[in-house]
Amino acid sequence: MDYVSLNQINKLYWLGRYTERVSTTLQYLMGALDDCIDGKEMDYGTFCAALGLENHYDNTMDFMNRYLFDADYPDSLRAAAEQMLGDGMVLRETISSSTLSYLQMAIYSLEKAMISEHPSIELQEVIDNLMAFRGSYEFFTREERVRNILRTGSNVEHISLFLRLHFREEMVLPEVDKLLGRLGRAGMRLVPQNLTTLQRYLGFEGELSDADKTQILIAAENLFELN
Amino acid sequence: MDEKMIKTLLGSQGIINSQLARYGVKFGIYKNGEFKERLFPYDPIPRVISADDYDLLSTGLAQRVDALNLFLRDIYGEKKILRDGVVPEDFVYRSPGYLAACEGIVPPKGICSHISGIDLVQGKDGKWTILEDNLRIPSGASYPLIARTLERRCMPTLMAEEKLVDNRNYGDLLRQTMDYVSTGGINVIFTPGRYNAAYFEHSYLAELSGAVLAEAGELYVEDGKVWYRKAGGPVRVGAIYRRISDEYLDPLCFVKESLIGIPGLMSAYRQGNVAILNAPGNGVADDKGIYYFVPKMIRYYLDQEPILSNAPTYLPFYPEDQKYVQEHLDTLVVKDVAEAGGYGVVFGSKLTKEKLADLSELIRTQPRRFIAQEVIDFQDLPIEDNGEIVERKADLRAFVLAGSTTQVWPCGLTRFSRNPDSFIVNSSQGGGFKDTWIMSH
Repeated sequence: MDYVSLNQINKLYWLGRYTERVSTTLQYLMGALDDCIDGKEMDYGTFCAALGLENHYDNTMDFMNRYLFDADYPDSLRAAAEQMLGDGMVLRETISSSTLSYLQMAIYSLEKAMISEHPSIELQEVIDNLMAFRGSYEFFTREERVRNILRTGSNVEHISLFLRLHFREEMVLPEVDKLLGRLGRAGMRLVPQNLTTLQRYLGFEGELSDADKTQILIAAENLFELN
Repeated sequence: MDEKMIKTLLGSQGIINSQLARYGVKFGIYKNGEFKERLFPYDPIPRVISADDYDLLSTGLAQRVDALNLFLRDIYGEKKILRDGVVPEDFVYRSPGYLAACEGIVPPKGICSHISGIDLVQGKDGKWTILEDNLRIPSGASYPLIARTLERRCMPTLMAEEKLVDNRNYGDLLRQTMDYVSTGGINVIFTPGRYNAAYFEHSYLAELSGAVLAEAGELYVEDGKVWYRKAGGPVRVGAIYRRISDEYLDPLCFVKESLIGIPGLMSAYRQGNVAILNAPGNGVADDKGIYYFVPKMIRYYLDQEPILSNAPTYLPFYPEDQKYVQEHLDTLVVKDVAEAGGYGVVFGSKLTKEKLADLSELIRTQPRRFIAQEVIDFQDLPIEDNGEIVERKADLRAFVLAGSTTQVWPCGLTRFSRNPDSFIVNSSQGGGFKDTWIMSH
């Protein structure tokens, strides 16, 4: 696409974020679902607090059912998946029908999981389709800038989820490096003070303190001026 | 079609429908104030049109669209057809589609209807009849277009054996049409947004034609020209294929409250600085009342006999037609000229005595509001229904593109009714679609 508008930049960035949010959160929750087999209750209260969600669930299974599948609840994973598809739909001519179709298939897999006796199988299909989506836009999208905006959204969401969920924290600094490395190619408007904060962690060695983590999280989530 | 072919087609239905779902081939409807998206049911048995039939259709449809374009130029220009008494002024100036704001505007290259959707049916005698002209925002081309791509994937052997005219050039035809009238700059498909019934089509056609898909806020007018808000700096827009109704197109000219329009667009258009496809004001020519006069337009402007016929139509506006309609109301189909999408269509034969009397009174007191037509006994087409093949009413929407030449896209949207008792084929009323195969022999 030779003509990217500000509105499309916004949509591309959020498409990258939502895709990653669905994919990474599912991988995290599939681990928790597996633990349920051994009778381990998930600490969904902490999960909700970490993501800033209202905890209005009765128990682990209620959380799993409603958080994963309730499209009417705006903070649910299903709602994030619908946002992801919605952003993809308005970018069809930018990302192509073939690439968009993987998002549609991910939604169908999520719908199948909702009524399945073995939801982890269908949830795995959701992740598979999102991986295929990523491969498809990496391979078929001609404009480097479009690919980089999507990747940027993905980086920011990784950093956010890794830090909030204390999940794969060893990946946070490599993600910060990747994010800073592609800013020039994404061509998005930046918030200078947040850029400076992140740049302080380039080549950082040693263990991140809680204060470091908070600074990185705030700076990454608010790095861009979006319309 | 032989048994083997039918078997192959039926065998492909499930796969093609799931592929259509994969590609998000949907249309939207508002029900109880809520937007819902639905898959458009696809039937695997195509409508087949022979090369000879297509030649006739193609010539007749191009003739009709040429005459309609001349009519539109004339109505917003010299008005010769009114002065010569071929079309009564009343039918033009009282038409809800007539826009005074378009008076005196000469559109780029003089074309008003660039993409026309003409609805036809085929009678049991094989004769084609025009039911309706759609010159504003006819939709539907994307469905058979993507269906053909999927048919080729799902039935490669059959598609290699059948000698079909390729229909996959629609995106190119659209681009060429936009390029031809462009005033210099990029081509844009202007959509009201994701919650429009035909959003799939808008985005798919943008992808295929290479046009930029834009919403309100991404386009603006400055110095009498239209600009696209590209990140890094604006770019000039030369042609806008708008998928927004006239009344919402420019809040400075039409509905003030419109949030989906481009303020100042009509001014840029009037100055000849942008092409709008299709031109605003085209509704005056696809009004159900004006339909009656199209054969007269063909004779008047082209000095030719119409190649394709209208359905026998009566205008209660004329006393002799009013008399006929009142005497035969129980056998006619009555259409409200202000309605579309299959709404406002009443079959006299299906009304109770009281309802018939009410309708009769309405026609008597508001003669300009209605047309009446003989019910055409058109061909039913076979469709698959729960594993059986049954016959249902179907029409054909042909797409005619007017650019450097006027040409008919070698395909079309065949819509059918799923209800055995209904003549209404519109998707918004539960109808489905099938591909239209134009044979090369």
